[in-house]
Amino acid sequence: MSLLQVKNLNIDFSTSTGVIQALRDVNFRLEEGEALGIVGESGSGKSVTSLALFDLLASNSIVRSGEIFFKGRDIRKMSEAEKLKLRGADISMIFQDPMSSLNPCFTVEYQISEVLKVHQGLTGASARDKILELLRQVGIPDPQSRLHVYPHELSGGMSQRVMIAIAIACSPKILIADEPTTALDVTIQKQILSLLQKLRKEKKMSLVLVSHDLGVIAQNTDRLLVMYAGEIVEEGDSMAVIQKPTHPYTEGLLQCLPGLHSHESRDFRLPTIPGIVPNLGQRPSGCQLNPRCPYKKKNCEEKPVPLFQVQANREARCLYPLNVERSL
Amino acid sequence: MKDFWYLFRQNRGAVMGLCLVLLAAVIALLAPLIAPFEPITVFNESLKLPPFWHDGANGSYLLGTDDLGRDLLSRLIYGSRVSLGIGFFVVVFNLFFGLILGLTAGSFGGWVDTVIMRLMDIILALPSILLAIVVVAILGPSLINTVIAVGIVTLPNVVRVVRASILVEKKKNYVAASKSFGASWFRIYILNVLPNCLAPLLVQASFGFSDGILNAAALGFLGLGAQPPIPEWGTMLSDARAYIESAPWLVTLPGLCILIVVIAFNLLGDGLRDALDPKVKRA
Repeated sequence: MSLLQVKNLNIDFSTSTGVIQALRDVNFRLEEGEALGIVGESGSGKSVTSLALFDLLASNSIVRSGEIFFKGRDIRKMSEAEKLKLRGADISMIFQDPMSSLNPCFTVEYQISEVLKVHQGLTGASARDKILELLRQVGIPDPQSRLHVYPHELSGGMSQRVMIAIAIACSPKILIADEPTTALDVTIQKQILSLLQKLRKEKKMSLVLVSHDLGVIAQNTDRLLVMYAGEIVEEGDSMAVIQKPTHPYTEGLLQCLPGLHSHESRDFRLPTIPGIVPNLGQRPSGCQLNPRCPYKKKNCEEKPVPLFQVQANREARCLYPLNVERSL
Repeated sequence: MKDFWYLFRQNRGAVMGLCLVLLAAVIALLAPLIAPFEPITVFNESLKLPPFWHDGANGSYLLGTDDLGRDLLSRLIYGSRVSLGIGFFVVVFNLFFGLILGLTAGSFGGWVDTVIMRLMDIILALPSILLAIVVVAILGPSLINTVIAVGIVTLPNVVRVVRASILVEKKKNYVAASKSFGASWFRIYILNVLPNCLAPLLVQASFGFSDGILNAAALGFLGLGAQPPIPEWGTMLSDARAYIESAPWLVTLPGLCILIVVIAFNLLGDGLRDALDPKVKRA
């Protein structure tokens, strides 16, 4: 049994312009200790997927169907009290913008102590010891002096470390990192990612890393989901997907990455994927990528494309997958 | 805190307001020590004596006496107790119910929000003094009922301020973060969100003070507030109205007291707003 299994998740949002389908037919599983990457453009459903795991979607969302099993129990069928116990203790999350994710009114110590108090009933000196240990674990130098510091006195990297300390305080089984390094500069990004890797190994956590940066995902995850327009379009081992993409969208994403030497020729232009992400209210028929796909064939518009198994451990939502011998 | 004090000091009006408020508070607290006489002691032999700068003044009654021969200065000093007390309890009343209603409306949203806010709109739609009169007419005139009446009339302001700041705060990332860490409704809104809403509330409380005093004085003037012989400034104004030509100080001085205290609280509120406004602060 997988630690986490998402089955057939369909989520809509009702907006002023009508109902839009934010997630369509999302299926994936997460094994214990595994690092799973989710990539995609803005609006592809990455964040909705991660919030759905907490059952913390915005109030205008409608879950059409789907089950989310954590250790074999459907999270969506749990009582409110059970969900509260789950959040932060079994599954926790770190966010994109660490500076605004900490409460500006309270000190670092207070904010970490809250989780310990809620989930483990720790207070006083034992909580204090635990907090110092957590701060040390996330690599904050001189933790004693940071206890009484307010968030506005911390740098972005430090705030993210504090967020991570809060997230791992109760040794969760799953840590979801929703673009944890987007708001940080590149050197800090590297530090935070290696910190996450270190903690994952030490604490035997599973990590879900959500990002739009394929480079970050490739280095830090075992398995990869590529999302487009609310659908998973490709799934497989991270290295394999990046070396030999089978879905045209993945290939397009990879071509958009600037290479080390690509800028050397003067008239080099970074390639882009033509067109724009479809308006989720007015989706194209058939394959969602077909208006932008360079390999489009006639029958791509006909009907929705299911996920095909293209190789062992490899699925793609494409009728004409790349880099595979059509022997299947 | 240092920032706040620095910004606050820049605003001279605000500092003056604060000083006047503190002065009024000290006078109110130490009234029995400062006042030369009891506010209700009647000196039959000296009716409507003028203040010390007029001819025919008696030095022992510094600001003169009223139509019943009570020392005006003592009455004004004791009156500050009543007025500030009313202001204080109106603010307490407002904050208590304002926080409950505003928090409920802001955090739950939906029909709860609609019901609470439409109720507040109804209160706002009626002329405030008229509504206060209705409340007093139902409950009967007394000091406590004045506080309740004025509190109800000024409640919508507080509820709106609380709800508005809750609505702003609840969209912020730290709320999403504490939800994801398993915080309960109570923990999120009371312990985490509310402290972030305190700045506008403090400002509102300061204005609420002056509003309360003014409204209570108006009720007193109409004879529906504090009942004689309680030395309430509004009531004193109304009692002295008949003598506005023969003894103008009896009307002027209580009026002046109301004016000064109300202006002081308004200046203080303005200063607080300028100093606590995050846009000014972060700049």
